[in-house]
Amino acid sequence: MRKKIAILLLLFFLIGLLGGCWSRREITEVAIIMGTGVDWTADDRIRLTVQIAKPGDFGAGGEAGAGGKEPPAWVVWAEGKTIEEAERYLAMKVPRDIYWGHSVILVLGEEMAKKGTGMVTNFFHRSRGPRETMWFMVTRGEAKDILETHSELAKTSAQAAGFLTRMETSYAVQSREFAEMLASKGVQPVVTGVEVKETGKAHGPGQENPPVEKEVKLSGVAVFKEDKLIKWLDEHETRGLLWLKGEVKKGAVTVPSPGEPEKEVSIKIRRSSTKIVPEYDGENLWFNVMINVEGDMVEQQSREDLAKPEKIKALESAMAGEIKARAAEALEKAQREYGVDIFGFGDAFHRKYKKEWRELKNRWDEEFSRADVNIAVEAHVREIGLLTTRASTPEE
Amino acid sequence: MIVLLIMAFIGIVLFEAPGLIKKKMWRELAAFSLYLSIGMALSIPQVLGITLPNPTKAIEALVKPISELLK
Amino acid sequence: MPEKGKIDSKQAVLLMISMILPTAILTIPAVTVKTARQDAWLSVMVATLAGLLIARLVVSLSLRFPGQTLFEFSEEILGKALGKMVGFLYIWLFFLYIGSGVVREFGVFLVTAVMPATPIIVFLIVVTAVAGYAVRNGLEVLCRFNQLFIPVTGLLVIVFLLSTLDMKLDRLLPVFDAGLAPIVKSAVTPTMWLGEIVTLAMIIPYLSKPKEAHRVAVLSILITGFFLTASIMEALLIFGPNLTGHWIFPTFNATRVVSIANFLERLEFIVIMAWVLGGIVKVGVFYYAVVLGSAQCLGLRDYRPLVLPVGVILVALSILLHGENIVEVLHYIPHVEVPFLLIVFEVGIPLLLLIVALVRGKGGKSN
Repeated sequence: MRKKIAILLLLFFLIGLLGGCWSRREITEVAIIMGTGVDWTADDRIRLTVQIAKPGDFGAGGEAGAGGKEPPAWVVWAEGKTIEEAERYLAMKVPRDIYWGHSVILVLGEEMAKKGTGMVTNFFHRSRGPRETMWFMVTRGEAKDILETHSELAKTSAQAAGFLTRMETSYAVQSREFAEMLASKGVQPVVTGVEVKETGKAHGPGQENPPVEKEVKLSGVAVFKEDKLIKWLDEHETRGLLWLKGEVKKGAVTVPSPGEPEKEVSIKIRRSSTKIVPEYDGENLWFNVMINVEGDMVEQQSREDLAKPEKIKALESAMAGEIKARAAEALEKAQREYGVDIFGFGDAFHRKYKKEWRELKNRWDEEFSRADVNIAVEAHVREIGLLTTRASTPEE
Repeated sequence: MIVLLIMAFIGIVLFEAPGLIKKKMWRELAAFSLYLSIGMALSIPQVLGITLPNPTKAIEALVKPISELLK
Repeated sequence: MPEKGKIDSKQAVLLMISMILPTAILTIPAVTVKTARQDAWLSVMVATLAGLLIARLVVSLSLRFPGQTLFEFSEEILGKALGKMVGFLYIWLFFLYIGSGVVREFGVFLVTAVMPATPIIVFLIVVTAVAGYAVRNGLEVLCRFNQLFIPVTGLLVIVFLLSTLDMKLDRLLPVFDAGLAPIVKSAVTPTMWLGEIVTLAMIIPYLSKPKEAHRVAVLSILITGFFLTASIMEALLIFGPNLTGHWIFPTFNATRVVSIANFLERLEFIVIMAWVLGGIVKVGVFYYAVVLGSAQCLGLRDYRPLVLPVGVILVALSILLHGENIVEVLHYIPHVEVPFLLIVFEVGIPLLLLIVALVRGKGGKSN
């Protein structure tokens, strides 16, 4: 009997634990953030813009398009001295618990990026909600505009931007990779650039005058020196950056047709690899960059028969030349104009010359600007599709 | 909070002590009481908001030369 | 004798793994990477070797006195008064210190990473209560609980494999960047963790085949060392040395990065599961060592009456000893726990006991 009383008393102690569900969050009580944008306002404050999903509208929103249907997301913003402060002001406008775990993108406005990412990223790394895998991007303009755009194919523009970066057509960087680049002295960060563009119209029955929608578009990369945005690379130069960084996974190279130089031939890239070999003799610093690329010829405008070994060889050398020129262009810009090592040459140097690195690392960008770089490209064309010569080539 | 804690202690005593007394395990009962009073001495002040000295600080000072070496 | 159960060698190995690994896997990577940077995995290998030496020392010592735990043979070696003194130190400054530390770390991790709104005391009480329940039921029950849940640790390996897509081998280069000194220095922390194998001296008498104790110790250290290396490698290969050193729990963040086809992601729950279940066992082992040791020190016939009071002490100490906030918790690990416990209790006293035993010719030949 006394034992039972004792157990009862001990059980009573467990009442203190009954509130154990106090961190629970029902899905109907949270505001799921799909995309986050941070701007630096004219009066020197941080403006946090979030795109909140409206799950109820997710079902039909996609295909109905612009036919008077409510967009499945709500964009709302607030200002503050820090992100957290802005988030608290945001909480005064959002009648639910703000949930960061599904934020796909973190986009900075141009002014914010120029001011420095140090004021932004810490919140997102320190909190347990936002993921380290958020896509990090900078817009030429205001981040708010990016989140306010519409998306035809994805449910929300934040998801659309996330999918765009995932397609690996431009340079994609997650917030943790940005932090890693920032923490290393051997590379300066580059971040996906985005902008708002009017894209195609939605078409369908009953749409006499479809409005022209604004959508997110990838546009080059933003070049940082430490945590501040300094310059941009356009799409063309971005390809060169990707070649030097060894990040080319998709894309095409277009070269003049060997026999008819005014007509073009396109080669689609299958795979590529880049190897950076630094050389240092205590005074002179130079880099040998070896780019290896394989591709398939997918289109020719010329009428000549390219299905001959010597023509393929000629194509390969033209392709190598084109890639080299692209890479050299980006390199030139980084070395001479911007003076920042955005390719990670410093990291490569560190891996090979760990002692010398200790002397050079604090003035690496100058050393990099002075360094000679030899780019060598080895290109291979493997497939030519289903045709040998043009299907419409007339009989000789 | 303090009420809950004291109830927990009463519960613990009622749970263990009668059995020990019945089996005449006096030595065990003494050890039990000793440990329980140490537990009470450590927990009740904390619940009441009295700051106890932290022995870790003393150990920290003691091993300081070594931990400096490891830095 | 207070403990009548027997466990076999396999159970002992699994118990030792659970005793070392759960807290090690989350806290060690950050500490070692801070000094040794990308060579931290080498530190762990050095630590594994050191751990093997400690294991050798403890098992040799223990096997000289078959059927006796640490507390019993220290009395036999040093005489009653001094031996009890050593036992007292082990209870209050080693087993209770580590045990309460684990209780606290258990709570700290769950509050920091998973359930921010829950008061930490809830986790402290819950883990101690569950571990206490297992301990009260004896060594066999603790072992079986562990056997049941240790496959979760195996799941971690799968998570590590899934994260290979995000890994770059370049991040481990250059090797020996800062030379040998940082590697050795940062090997100290993992050595302290692996040195917790000293607790095996409490368990050897209850092995069904005590002769296999050497094998048990070596296997436990090697497997634990492997898992530790793997967890450090995972964090390093994903984040690189700079970022890894900045996270508090790099392994946790590393599993958050895993995303296979935008579908298989958010796998951190596996780390949390391993942490919760492993944390319970880890607390349980030290808890068990405290109550059994106390019972033997005080000459009791049964250790069970001590279980509840020791639980209270564990919770109270976990708040008292390990600082007021997470910064102090993280500060005390490398600055107090590691040097103090490693030098005094994992190497110093066992070595002293062995030397005195050899000089006084106590105990049978072990090998």
